[in-house]
Amino acid sequence: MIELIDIGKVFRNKDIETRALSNINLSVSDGEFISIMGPSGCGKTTLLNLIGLIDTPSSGKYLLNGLQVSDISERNRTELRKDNFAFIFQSFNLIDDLTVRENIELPLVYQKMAQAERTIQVNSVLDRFTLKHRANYFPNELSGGQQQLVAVARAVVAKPRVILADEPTGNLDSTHGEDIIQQLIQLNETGMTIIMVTHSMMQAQRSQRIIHLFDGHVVTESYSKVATNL
Amino acid sequence: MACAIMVMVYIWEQSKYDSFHPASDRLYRVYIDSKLGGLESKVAVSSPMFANGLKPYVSEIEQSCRIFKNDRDIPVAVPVATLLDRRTLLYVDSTFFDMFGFKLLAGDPMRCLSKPRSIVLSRSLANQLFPEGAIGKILTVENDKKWTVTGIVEDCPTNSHLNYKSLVSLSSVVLPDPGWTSLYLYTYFRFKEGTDMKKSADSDLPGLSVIEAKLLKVFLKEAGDDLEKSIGLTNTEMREKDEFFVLRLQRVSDIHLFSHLKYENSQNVNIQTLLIIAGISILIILIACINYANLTIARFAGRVREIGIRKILGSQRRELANHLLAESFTISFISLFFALVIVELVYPNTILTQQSPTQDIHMHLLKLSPLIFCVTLFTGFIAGIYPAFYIFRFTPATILSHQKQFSTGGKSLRGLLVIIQFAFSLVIIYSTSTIYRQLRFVQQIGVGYERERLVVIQNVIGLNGNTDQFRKKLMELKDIERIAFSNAVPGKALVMQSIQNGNDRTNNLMVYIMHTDSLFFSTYGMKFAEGSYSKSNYCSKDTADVVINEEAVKYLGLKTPIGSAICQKNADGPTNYLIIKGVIRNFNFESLHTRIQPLIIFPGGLEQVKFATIRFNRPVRADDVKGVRKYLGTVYPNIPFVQYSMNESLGEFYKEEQSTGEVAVAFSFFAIFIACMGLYSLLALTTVSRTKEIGIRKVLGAGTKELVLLLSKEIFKLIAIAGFIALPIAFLLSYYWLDRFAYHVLLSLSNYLFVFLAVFFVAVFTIYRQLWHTINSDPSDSLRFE
Repeated sequence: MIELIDIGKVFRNKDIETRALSNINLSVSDGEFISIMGPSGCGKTTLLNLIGLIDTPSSGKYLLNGLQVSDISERNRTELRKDNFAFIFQSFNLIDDLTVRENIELPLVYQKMAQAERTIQVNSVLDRFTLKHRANYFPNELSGGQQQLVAVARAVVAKPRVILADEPTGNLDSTHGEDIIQQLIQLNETGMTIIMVTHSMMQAQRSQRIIHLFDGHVVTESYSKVATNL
Repeated sequence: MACAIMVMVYIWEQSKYDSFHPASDRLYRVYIDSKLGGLESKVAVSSPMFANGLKPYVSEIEQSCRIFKNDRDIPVAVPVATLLDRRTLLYVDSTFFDMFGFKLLAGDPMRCLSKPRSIVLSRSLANQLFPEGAIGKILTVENDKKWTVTGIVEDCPTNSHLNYKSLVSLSSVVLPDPGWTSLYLYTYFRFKEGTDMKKSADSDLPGLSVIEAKLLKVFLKEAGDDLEKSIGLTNTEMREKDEFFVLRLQRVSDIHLFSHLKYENSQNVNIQTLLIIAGISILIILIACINYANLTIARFAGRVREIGIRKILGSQRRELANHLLAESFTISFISLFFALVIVELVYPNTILTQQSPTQDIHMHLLKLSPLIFCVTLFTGFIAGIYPAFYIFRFTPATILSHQKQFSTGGKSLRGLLVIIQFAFSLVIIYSTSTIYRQLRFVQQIGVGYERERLVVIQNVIGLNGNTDQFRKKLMELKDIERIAFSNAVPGKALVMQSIQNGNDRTNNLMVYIMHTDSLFFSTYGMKFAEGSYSKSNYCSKDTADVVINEEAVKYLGLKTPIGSAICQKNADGPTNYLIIKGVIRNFNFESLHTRIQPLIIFPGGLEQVKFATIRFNRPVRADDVKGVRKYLGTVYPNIPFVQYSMNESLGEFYKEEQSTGEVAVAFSFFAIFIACMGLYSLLALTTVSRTKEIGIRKVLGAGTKELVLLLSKEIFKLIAIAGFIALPIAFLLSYYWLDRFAYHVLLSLSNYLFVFLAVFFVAVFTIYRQLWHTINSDPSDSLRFE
C-alpha cells in the first residue's frame, strides 16, 4: 500500500542544511501495525510526516497504492490525505476553541459530509470511546488522557485506511498510555493500518514490525515477538 | 500625525484672520439684517451715508472707514498698458490706515488717501509699474484720468478678508446713488475702548445689542423717510407686521469664519467645515493609535512564552508595562519628527492652502508647539496604554499554563477596535461621496435655462448705450446665435424692490427685479408657463409690461396672473403699474443654497445696460471665452470688458463645497489606508495565534477555501457590523451637510451599499496576500510552530 523508494529529506535554513532522512526504503502493507523507533532527532517524525503527506520528500519516490505522490500539488496531497490518513500527535493538537464534539466532527466537515450523517458518525465514535458525557467540554477542561482519547476518536471518525501516531503516549502516564495502545491494537484488528512512532520498546513490541532509524537511515527492521506470537 | 498637525495649522490660520489690526476687538463691520415682504435677507454691504452720517450721533464710534469695490477693471495706459483688477482695487476712505493694520511702507498714512485721485500701490505692483520708485509717479487710467502714487503698502497678507493690490481714495470716484437705503459698499467702525458691545438692548428685535439699537435709532431718525419711500412702510408699520430693517455689527476678526452674508467681500470659510475637518483629523489619530495597539499586541502573541519566562526570571509586570509605554511614547515622538518634516514639505502645496496660501509655517508651528506636544503625548499614551494594561493583567503562571488564551485573549476588544476604524472610514467615505454627488447635482441640474451655451460680457456700460453696434460686431464671431442685453444676469447684480399687488395694495412685498431686452428669454432658452412676451413699448410713462416667474405668482397670490397689475411705487412719489404679460418657468438666479425667489422682469425699456449675454449654437468651450476676449480687445480696446461662461460663473457659488470635497477625498484615503493597516495587523495577530490550528486543520483535510473562509469570516463579520453602525452616522452627517442647500440630492441607500462594497473589497485586497501566504505554508511548519 505504501512504498518509499530511496526517500531523502533535507531541511534548509539560511546557510544550514540538515539531512533529516537518507535513502529510506520502506514498504507497508494493508492492515499492518508497525512501529518506528530511534533516538531523538533521528528523523522519525519527519518520516511520519512524509508518509502522511504533510511534508514532501527532497528526493526519492513515494508510491501510495501504486500512485506516485512524491511531487504532487498541495491541493492533491490534501485530498489524498483526507481519504487515506489520520493523525494522532504527542501533544494532542486539539483546537481549543472547539468542543470535543466539534473537534471530532472536523474531518467529516472537510469531507463535505452532510450534517445529519456527521451527527450519526460522531455520536457513534463518542459512544465507542465513552466520551459522550464530555461532548460539550473544551479540550482545556479535560485531562491529558481524555484529550488524547478525543484525538484518537477524531482520527478514526473518518474511517481512514492508515492511522499515523506520533508518540501518542508521550505526554501520558502509563495507565492512560496503555489505554491508548489498546485502542490502537483494537483498531488494527478491524483492519486499519497503524504506523506508530515511539520511544518505548514495550509499546513497540505491541506492534507487528519495528523499524529502527538512526541518523536518518533505516538501520534494522525486526518483527516483534508479541506480534509474532499472536 | 502629519495630517493632524496640518489641520491644526490650517485651523489656526483660519481663526486668526484679521486679528493683526490694531484694536481688532473693537473693529466691526456693519451689515443689514432685514425681513421685508416676508423675505429675509442679510447683506454685507451698507449705505455710503452710514460712516459719516452715524458717527456724529453715536459717541461710541471712534473711527469709521468705507470700502467700495467697482464692478469693472480699470485700464491703465501709463506707465504700462495694463488693467487694475476690479477684485483687488479698493476705493477707501482716508482713514484706512488708521483703521486697519496694513503696513504702509512709504507715504503718510494720514494723508496718502485724503485727496482725490490718490493711489497707494502694493509693493509688488509698485515694483512692476515703477521699478525705479513709485512715490509721486502718475498713472494714467481710463485714457484721461491721472492718479498720483502717494504711498506703497505691503502686499496684502493672506490672512485678511480684504484683498488689495491697489488702494484708491474714495473721493476719486462719484458714488452711484449715495442715499441712506442704497447698499453697495462696506462700512467699518472702530468703537472706543470700554464700549460694551455685547450688552443686549431692551428691544423686541432678538439679539439686538445696545450699540446696534443706538445705530438703528439714529438711522431711523436720519433716514426714516428714505426707508419709507423705498419700501412703502414706516418702521412702526414694519414692526406691526413682524418685519424689520436693522443695522447689525460683526467683528472684523469673525468675518472669515462666521460671515456668510450676501455680497461678501471675500470667499469665507465655513466654521462647520473647519470643525468637520478637525473632527476627522482627531479620528485619524485615534485610528492610528488603535492600529499601533493592535500591532503591539500582535507582536506579543509571538513572544508570550518569552514574556512568561522573563517574569519567572524576575522581571516585574510593572516593568514590562512601563517598557511598553516608554516604547509607545518614543515612537510617538519619533513620528512627530517625521510628521514635522512632512508638514514642512507638503503643507504649502496642499489643497488646504490653495485658496489661502500659508504665510509663515514655522511661526505657526512655534505658536502651536504646546498643543502639538500635548497631542504627541496623548497619542503615545493612548497607543501604549492598552497593550500595557493587557500585559499587566497576567501572572507568569497564567501565561505559561494558558499560553493559547493569552495569545487570543482580548479578541473582542480588538475586534471592537477594527469595527470602530472601519465605521469611521465608511462615514468619511460616504460623506465624501455625498459631497461629490451634490457637486455633480449642482452642475447638472437644470437651472431653468441653457447655461452651457452662454457667455456673459460684463461692463457693457462702457458702450454708453451703443448696443446695436455692439451686437452687430459680436455677431461677426462664429457660432453665435443671438445676443441679449440686461442690467443683471443670473447670479449677478439682481436687486430687490418693494411692490404691491394691484388688487391688494395694503401689503408691501419685496421681489427681485431685472431689466432686460426682449431677446433675453430666447437667448437664455427660458420657457413660458403662461402667456408670452412680444416687444412692445411702455403704453404710457407710468405703465409697463412685465414678465414674472412662477414663484412670484405664488408669492403675490395671483390666481389668473396674465393681465393682472402690480404696483411699483417710485421713490419720488408716482406709482407705476406693471401689467403681467407672461409667467416664465422658475429658474435659479441665485445659488442652489437658496430657494427660488419671486422675480419680475422688465423686458422693454432697458435704461442701464450692464451685461451682454451671447448664446452660442453649441456648448461653450474655454476657447470660446478666450476668443470673445481677444475679439473685444481688438474692437474695443479701451473698454475693460470682463467675460466668462455662465457655467464658470455658477461654479463660483460652490467653491467652498469644492474645496471641502477635495479635503474630504484626501481624508478618505488616509482613513481607509489606516483602517486597512489596522485590519492587516489584526489578521497578523490572528494568523500568528492560529498558526498551529491552521496546520491541524490542514492535516485533517481542510482545503484552501475552507481556511480562507475560516480566517476571513471573523474579519468580514467585523466589517459588516461596522457597516451597520456607520450607516445612521453617515446619513446624519450627510443630511446635516446637505441642509445648507435648498436643492440637493437625496440620501441614497444604494450609494451607501456601493461605498460599503468598495471598502469591503479594499479590505479583501489588503488581507488576501497575508492569508494566502499563511494558508499555503506547509502544514508541517505550522505544526512545529510554538
